[in-house]
Amino acid sequence: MNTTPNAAGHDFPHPPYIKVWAALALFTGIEYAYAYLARDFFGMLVIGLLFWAAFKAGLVGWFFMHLKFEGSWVYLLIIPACLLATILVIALYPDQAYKPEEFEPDRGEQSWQAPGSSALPLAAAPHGRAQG
Amino acid sequence: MTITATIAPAEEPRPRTGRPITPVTPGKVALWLFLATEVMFFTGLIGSYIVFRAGSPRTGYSNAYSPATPLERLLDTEGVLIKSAGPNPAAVTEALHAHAGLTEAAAERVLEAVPHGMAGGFKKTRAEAVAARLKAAGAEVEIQPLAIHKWPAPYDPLTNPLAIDLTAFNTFVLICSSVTMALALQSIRDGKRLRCSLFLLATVAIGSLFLSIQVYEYYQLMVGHHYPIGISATGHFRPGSSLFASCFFTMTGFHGAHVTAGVIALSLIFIRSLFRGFSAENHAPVELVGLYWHFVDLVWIILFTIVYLM
Repeated sequence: MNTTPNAAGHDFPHPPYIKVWAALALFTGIEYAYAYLARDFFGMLVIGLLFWAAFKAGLVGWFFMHLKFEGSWVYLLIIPACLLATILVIALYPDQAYKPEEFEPDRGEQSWQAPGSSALPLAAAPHGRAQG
Repeated sequence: MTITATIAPAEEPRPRTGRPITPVTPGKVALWLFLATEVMFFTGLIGSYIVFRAGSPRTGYSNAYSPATPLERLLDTEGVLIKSAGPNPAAVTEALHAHAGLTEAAAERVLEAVPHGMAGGFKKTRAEAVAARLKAAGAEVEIQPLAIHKWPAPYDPLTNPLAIDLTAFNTFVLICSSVTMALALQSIRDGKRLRCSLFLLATVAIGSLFLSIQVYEYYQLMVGHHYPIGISATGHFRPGSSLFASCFFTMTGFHGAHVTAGVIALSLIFIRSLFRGFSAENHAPVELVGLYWHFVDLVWIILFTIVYLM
């Protein structure tokens, strides 16, 4: 790292931008290959990809956005925003994700009935199947 | 005897961690406040995507029916995948029309999606009969059982149209623009005006390349390419095609709008830099636009992972 301050004489040193760029490119390649290799293992896929994405985003924030050289005031702005946004998502999650499953494929078509209705929905006509 | 005293030069104040810190300016505080609102905006988008995906029914997508088709009575049906139309596509279209019961327009849409053309919704014996007719017409076909998905899977051309290879390259492009932006700031901090202008120009050019690739991707999805029935009932991937499509276009579209705003801001900064608008002591606009640009890059890293790869 070049530690020479700039002409103003009171600024932060130059981060190793090229090394960070090379690391980001390398990890993007690794992430791409990982996504392909783990595509059939959803749990492993999600955990691995979130790790790589967080790592890459951390590199961008820490070096390119100079979080490494900022005071704690920045975190006072960012962390509450992240917390509020996360709470919003958690609050929304049950509305969609925990709604009762309307259809159990294993039960077979005879036992299934649409909640609150007395008739089965019409079968779909894929591709605009010709009638008659 | 002479007594000499030395006075140590005044040192810059440092935090307790020993890290050098950047000066706090009103402009920087304002931009970080803006970025905090952007964090909430994009987290809202990404969070909504996660919520919708988690709430999608297990039968939301399939290889043989259009998205959101009620499949509860169709689980024992199969699809006929046309990998190649062979030497006489007209005969294959006619066979689809005559023996698969498709309208002519629907039969043509199936053929336009080859090698992933899917005619779906047949009982087993009928699927075999249709496949035999299509083979007789010269097509290369394969019977596929109904495969249902909660959400389109990456690398599945029958339910997911996204071009991961192209977008991975585009991600690399945006990362390159981030490093040129960082080098532009480094240059002006060192008082190198020409170098700063060149790096700003490179950032504008690379950012524009990213946008161009995204426009090309949108064109292919919405107009240029024809997709099988499992992706869209119309053969084109547009915001109304499915919940996945509307989520995709909302998230990538808003990000693209941010990139566009960034390219415009960078262009203005670049023009100002040509007129000696910045110096080693006065370069706050370069730093602030750079912060915004890096944030846009950071958001894309997360979007690419969640929307394309998962």
